[in-house]
Amino acid sequence: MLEASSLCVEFGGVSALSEVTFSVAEGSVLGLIGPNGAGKSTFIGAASGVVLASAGTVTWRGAPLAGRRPDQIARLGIGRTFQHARLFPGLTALENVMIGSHLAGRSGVFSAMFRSRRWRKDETLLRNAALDAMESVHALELAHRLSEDLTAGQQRLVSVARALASGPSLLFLDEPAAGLTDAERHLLAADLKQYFATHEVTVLLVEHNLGFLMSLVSDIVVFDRGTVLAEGTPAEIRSNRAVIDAYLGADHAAR
Amino acid sequence: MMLTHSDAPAARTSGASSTETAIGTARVERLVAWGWQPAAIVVWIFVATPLFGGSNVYPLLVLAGIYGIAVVGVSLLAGLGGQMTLGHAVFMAMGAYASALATTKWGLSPLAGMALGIAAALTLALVTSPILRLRGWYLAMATAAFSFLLQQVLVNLRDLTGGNNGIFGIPPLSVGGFEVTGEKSYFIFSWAAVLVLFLLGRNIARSRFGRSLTAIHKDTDAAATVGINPARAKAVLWLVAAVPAAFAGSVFAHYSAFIAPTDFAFATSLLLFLPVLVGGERSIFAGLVMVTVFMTTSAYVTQTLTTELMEAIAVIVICLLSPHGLAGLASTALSRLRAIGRRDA
Repeated sequence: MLEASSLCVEFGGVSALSEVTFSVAEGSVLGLIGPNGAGKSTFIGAASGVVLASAGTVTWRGAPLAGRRPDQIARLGIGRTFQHARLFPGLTALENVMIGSHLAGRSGVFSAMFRSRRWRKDETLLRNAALDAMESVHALELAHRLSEDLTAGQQRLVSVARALASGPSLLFLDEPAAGLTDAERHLLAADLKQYFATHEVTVLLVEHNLGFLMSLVSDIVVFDRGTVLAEGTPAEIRSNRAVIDAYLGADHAAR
Repeated sequence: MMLTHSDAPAARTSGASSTETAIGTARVERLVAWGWQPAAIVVWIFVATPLFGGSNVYPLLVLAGIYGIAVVGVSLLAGLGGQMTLGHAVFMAMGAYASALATTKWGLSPLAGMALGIAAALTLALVTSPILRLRGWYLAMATAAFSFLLQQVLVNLRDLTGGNNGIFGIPPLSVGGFEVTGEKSYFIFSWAAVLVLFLLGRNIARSRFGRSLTAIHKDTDAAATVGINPARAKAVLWLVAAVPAAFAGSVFAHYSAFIAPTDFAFATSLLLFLPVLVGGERSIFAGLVMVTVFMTTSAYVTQTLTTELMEAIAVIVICLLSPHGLAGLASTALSRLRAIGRRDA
């Protein structure tokens, strides 16, 4: 279970997150929505070691995440995407995703130098993990294309594959559908639904596209101006007055 | 130099024979891609002595080979890892002085001296690894400072190092019963060592470790997110890069039979770094070609690389490395001038 308890994040006197408390049940997919600047990405930053929390805690299976380095958090089995794809330039899509499967491998400098059998096994493992991840988002045909030659949507797909490549048990997806065409979005939603159904993974999904989000999540948390505004099922959220005023708008309430 | 195996999901072609041809061609292509650089080095080893032996250039080619050994390490550090290193001669000095002292004062074999040199270089690398917290321009300045610091240390530890007079009478390199004497033997030895280290270095680059270094270089935060520990990877690389430099230093000591602090000055560090900068960050081979070019062009300039020339190069390098490059320096200067102009108005 992912648990945030009175989590506060301050940037130079400005409170980006204030007393944020909620939890994500093991194996479930929780949607995180809210207006821009509400603190959604800041929360992911705090939970992934990129942003420093000023107070409160966020724990994964009881282990505190605040204060750990990003690579230490990754080693706890936590993966994430960024608001921008942030692929490594000059490398192919497959190489990018293979870097994502880094933790699945163990070979270091010495076995690399002498190309030992252990190294070969390791490389095959890393490569297969990467290929599997790319296959699960239908990105295999992009494998040998350079990352900077891909469209924004394709880059985003590859970045999702990169996060999946290490087989994380907790996944933070930060607007994975942004910049995708309608067709790409539908395909990604289906792919992620399939992935979540076949893998043991807990997911926190930040997304503005509510259609995309609703097809994947069982519960929703709404952020507004750094605090939790509401929690509940999609239906409850849609009929929540405060949420409608702050974010959804009247036309969503009608549905 | 990222190797991308061309064994993606294969296209379905009609007929078994055309698929076999496609696979066969792909295999040949991969063999050529893998083998042309080592093959070029082998050809060089065979061809250079008949072509250049006895001329003015030949000793420079031997030195190119010796520096080339160190350049493999610098190529991994500065090229693959993106770590500016303007002080790598320090590690050469470790190897050289260890070998010199071991064989002239302490009665040890050349191999023992080499081992000592590598151990000294690794220790120094370990102790100095916190420097890697610096980046870019600042790392460049700090590593440059190493070079100058080393000069002072070598000169002042007169009893140990012979100060400015250096150490002379270093015996030739001998491995087992075999002695390496004469230009030709050192040429073959050093370039054979280059070949071996090139292959090892390339193996490192094309590996999980190599990929993690590229990731750190391109986007450190994204790299950390997938579980790569940037500080640790950079430290390992720093240590790895020190070893060939120490080895090169040892070979240099035995070849030259005489070493002095000036052999490991800032100019030498530049000689190790500039070929990598010019040759491009992705190719160890290009770095080797460039160090050979640098050494040989100095033969056609009437003097060897003089201190003045090296200092001029240093200024240029420093300008290029400044946070926004030469153009940045110029625009900063320009905006300052404009500000002064406005103030007076």
